[in-house]
Amino acid sequence: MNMINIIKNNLHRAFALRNYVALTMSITLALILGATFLTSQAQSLGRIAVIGDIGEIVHYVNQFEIHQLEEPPAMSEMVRNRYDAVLTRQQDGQFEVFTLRSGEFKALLEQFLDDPAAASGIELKTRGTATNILGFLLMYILIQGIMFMKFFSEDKENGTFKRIVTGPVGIQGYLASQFITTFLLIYLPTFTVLIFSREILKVDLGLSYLYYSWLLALIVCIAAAAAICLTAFVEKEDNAMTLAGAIIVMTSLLSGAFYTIDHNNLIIKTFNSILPQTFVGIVQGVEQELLVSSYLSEIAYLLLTTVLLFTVGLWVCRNRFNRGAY
Amino acid sequence: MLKNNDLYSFYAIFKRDLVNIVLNPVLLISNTLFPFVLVMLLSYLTSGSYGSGGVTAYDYYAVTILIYAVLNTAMTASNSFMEKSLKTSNLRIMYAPIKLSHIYMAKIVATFIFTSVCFLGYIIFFNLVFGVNFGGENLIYVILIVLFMNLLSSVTGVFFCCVFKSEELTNKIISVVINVFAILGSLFFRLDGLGPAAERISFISPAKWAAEAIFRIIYDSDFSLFIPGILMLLMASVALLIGCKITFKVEDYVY
Repeated sequence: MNMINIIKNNLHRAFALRNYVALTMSITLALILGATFLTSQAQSLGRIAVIGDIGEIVHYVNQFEIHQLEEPPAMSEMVRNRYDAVLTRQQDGQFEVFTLRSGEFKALLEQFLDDPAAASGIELKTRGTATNILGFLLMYILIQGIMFMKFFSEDKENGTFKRIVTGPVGIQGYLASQFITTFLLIYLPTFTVLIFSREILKVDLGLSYLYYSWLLALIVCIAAAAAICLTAFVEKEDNAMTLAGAIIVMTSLLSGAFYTIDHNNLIIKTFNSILPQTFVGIVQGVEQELLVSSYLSEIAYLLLTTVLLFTVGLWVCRNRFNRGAY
Repeated sequence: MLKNNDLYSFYAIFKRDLVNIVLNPVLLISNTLFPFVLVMLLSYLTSGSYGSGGVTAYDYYAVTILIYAVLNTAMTASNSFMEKSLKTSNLRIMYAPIKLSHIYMAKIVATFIFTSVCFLGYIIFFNLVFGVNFGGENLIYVILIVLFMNLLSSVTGVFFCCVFKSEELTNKIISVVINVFAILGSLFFRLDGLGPAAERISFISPAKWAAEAIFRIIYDSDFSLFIPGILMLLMASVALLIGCKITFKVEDYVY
């Protein structure tokens, strides 16, 4: 009963911030549209600039995007990755390959030029729509967690927190209600936007609502728990926001929320598998129609992380409270 | 005599603002450590896709993350102006017999000087330790672009504060805009590979233009974007400064 009062109060506060909620919803919509749009674009192994006579290579190299140029591209265009490689026709009819990318890439390209028939079997790795949508949304949902935890920061800053938790609801009940509010404030608008995109804008989301409902619930839980943990540690809302932004951007980049990372380094792989963003891997698997049961351990891991983050937050709050903080 | 001097009052506010920025651990770290760590991580992650042509991943990311850090200066500026703990004392001096513009100008100058020093240190570090190419003899042009961008970022942060009268709202809006610009400008990963449409959208990002201008100077000694770029940055800064003057009103903060 006490918890319901806190949640109700928080929802009233959220209603007062309705412009703010509307803004986050429109950003969510933009991210969904951006993700579907980018998925629909054809991907290739690389962009190749051919100087002079293209000859017959255009007929078989369909995994690469070929551009015919009169002049070789500027060095800055190569550094900016506008072209992955430049092929220049030599006197003897052979191509000279120039690339800034790795030796592996160069070898692959040369293989294509030498023996196109054998190389044409190499398949492109692509990401599905749902993976892109949830991968893009992931970072924003984590940030929203911190944004809606502002009620907790505010309560701490103006002393309301201390008054509430000395009452019957306790720290545990208070934090649980913050968790539930944040969950509702992220989950409901995001899901509404998903339904809006599919029903009104006719966007192909890649997975059914059923899958989205639990996949989304999984990340929103993590976002809310992470926000509780961080807000418990950092007293000032501004600092929490900046710090969280940095952590979220970096871990999202590392874990390949936006693009698949091909890195065989053991440290990076281990590090990635610790991050909550392993979530993207689950979505990818679900989208490729693998059995959900094969991801049970990952799902369990994410739920465990949620509980752990929440417990750490609770522990920090309780400790500080007992020492007379707030 | 000197105490009534305009310059003296400006200097007094400016000094306080600079100290406030340096003593704020989050601002200090996000301007010094954060860009370094980001460059190291991204370069390390993508080191596999460079190597054949004498250009390393560090050469790319040290430049793009510098641009990202410069964009983030706007957040430092808005924090130095209206962060909760500073806001009341910052605005209390409105009652003092000083020029009103000194209040926000001091924040702009303090942010600009602090972050510029950080970025120069960044350039020196990556040049010496990782051998990153910042243009060799054309280095000064790269630095000029960075400094003018930094000026615009500082003014933007303060301007948004003047408009929204709150640091939280400003930072939320700015951080979304900065990250969208950064992604569109291929600062973290290559966007052009996602198709021609993505490339077309990316032209709205100033980060893309900045990267284009800087890479052209470094690798092609091509200065075609230098003069127009500097002029545009300067004009935008002046326009936003005028905007600050129009939107910053004492009455709005009396409560």
